[in-house]
Formats: sequence, structure tokens, C-alpha cells
Amino acid sequence: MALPASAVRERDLELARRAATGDRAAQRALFVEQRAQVHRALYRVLGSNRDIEDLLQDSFIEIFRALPSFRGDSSLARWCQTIAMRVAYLALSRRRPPTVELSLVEEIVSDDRDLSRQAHAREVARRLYAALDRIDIKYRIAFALAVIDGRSLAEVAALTEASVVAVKTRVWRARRQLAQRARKDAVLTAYLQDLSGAQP
Amino acid sequence: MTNDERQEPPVIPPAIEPLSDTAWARVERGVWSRLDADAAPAAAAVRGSPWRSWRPVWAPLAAAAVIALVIGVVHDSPERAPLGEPSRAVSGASPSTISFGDVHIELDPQTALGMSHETGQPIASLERGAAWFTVAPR
Repeated sequence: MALPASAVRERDLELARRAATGDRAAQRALFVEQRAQVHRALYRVLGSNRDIEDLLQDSFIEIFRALPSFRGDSSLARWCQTIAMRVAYLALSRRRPPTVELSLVEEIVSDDRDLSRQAHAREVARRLYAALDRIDIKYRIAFALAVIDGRSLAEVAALTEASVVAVKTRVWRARRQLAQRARKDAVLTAYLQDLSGAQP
Repeated sequence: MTNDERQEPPVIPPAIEPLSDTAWARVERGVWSRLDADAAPAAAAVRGSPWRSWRPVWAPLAAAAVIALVIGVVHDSPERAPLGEPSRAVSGASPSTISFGDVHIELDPQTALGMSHETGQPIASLERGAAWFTVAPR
């Protein structure tokens, strides 16, 4: 049974307070509790587990250092993800401009329909993130969280410390720029349409 | 990728590949060792919100404030500084200090400050670097 919001807040505050004092058991409990959600948010923004370990480390370092400022205004989970999004934004800002990868697309020979679908999904996701590499980072993060991960605009606004209107604009611009980049890629165009159709 | 495959939509959204236990252990070890070492300077930049950058706004505002301050100070000063001819103060690798009347200007290294007198008003313009103005109480 889920705890009431006030109890969750008290529990979050207590865990944060203990972890902020350097209590390693509390720090570990916080790490174990939050790591999946922080990983999920970072994965959506990056598109793979490549480089994610460094960002996870940086995120949790920042989380632990910022713990004394946690006031429980939002849940600990959302607060941790907000910090992870800051880390992701800075990391993407410092990243070298994307290079064009020349790679052979694997020919799918299996008769197994699930395997074929998975391979197709991987390939189309790779193309999507290659296109996301070439748009503004704020648009990318808003699109990844709102469209790919299906979070509400309000939640994305909280995670990216922006207004809902700003997030809506970023998502719209991301869609437009991605659609332009996908003009010559029928697979990606279809996928973007599927993604759009899947959104409320 | 063939057209036939396109007819079957991909998994939406793309699946999240879990991180292996070994990878999580690496992350956790790294976090604790960095926390113990407390490498504060490396992470200081993330404290504030990185989403809004004030740097481009800050520089012109600071320059404008400096100019306004100098105009006000020099204009109000009973011992008006000799700004009849345009002049320029440039600091090298180390900081420099200029004083005229009761106005003291400290220039950071690699700073250039131009001063001139136009239409009866003294003008100071910060070309590069940073300058700090101190005025005696009036």
C-alpha cells in the first residue's frame, strides 16, 4: 500500500537529513532507492548506456553535495532527477560536436518476429538519437522526457526548471527540427509519427 | 531495413537497457570514493541552475554600470579629473590601480579602460577585462 504524501515527505526529509550528515548507510539507501529513476531519466536523454556511468556518478555526487538544501518541496525522486538533468545538460553542452558515424546496418536474417522488431527498434532509436544530437540541448531534453519517456509537461518543467509554456515550446521546436532532419529518412519519419501518435 | 519491416511499428518508446550489476557497483564505488575525496571544485559549476546563462547579459550590464558610475562620480566631483583628452588605461599580466581625485580604479589583469570627454560629459568604457571603482564618501 502506498504511503500518504505527507508520510513520503517526512521519510524523504529524514533520509536526506541523515545522508547529508555523511551517514553512509543512509547515503547508500538513497543511492539504491533513486538510482533506477535517475538512470531512466539520463538514459532517455542520452539514448544509450554509453557514457552513462560517468553521468550517474556526477549526478549522485551532486545530489549528495546538495542534500543540505533539500527542503521537501518536491519528492526526493523528482529532486534527484532535476539534479541529474542539470548534469546531463552540462555534459551535453561540453560534448564535442557529433560526428557522422559510418556504420553498416545489420541485415536482419532471423525469422523470429520479436527479434526482428527488437533489431528494428534499436536501429530506429539509433537514428532518432543521431538526429537529437543535432538539435538544441534544451529541446532534446524536453523531447526525450516528454515524448520518448511520456512524462507530463508539468513534470518536465519541474525537472528542467522551466515553465510549462517553455517546455511546450521546446517540444514543439524539437518535433519541427527532427521532422526536418528526418525528411530523407522514411523510417525515422514514420517513427516520429508513431511517437507523436502515442502521446496524449 | 526494408519497407516490410516498417509496416510493423517498433517498440514505443525504445526500451531502456538496464545497467549490469557490475556497472552499478563501479558507479557506486566511484561515488563513495569521490565523496570521500570531496573533489568540490570539479562539481561547483552544477550547483546553480545551468539552464539559464547570465554571462552574456552580465558583461554589458557591468560595463554599463561602470560607465554610469564614472560619469556620475566625475561629474559630481569637486576636484574634476583632467579628462580633457581621451586616454586609455591598460593593465598587463598583473592588476593595476589608477587614482584621480578621490576616485580609485583597480584594473584586473589584461584589462583595457578608455576614458574620454564628450559633449561636456566624461565617459569611461570598459573594452575588456574587469575594473573596480572606489569613491570616497561624500
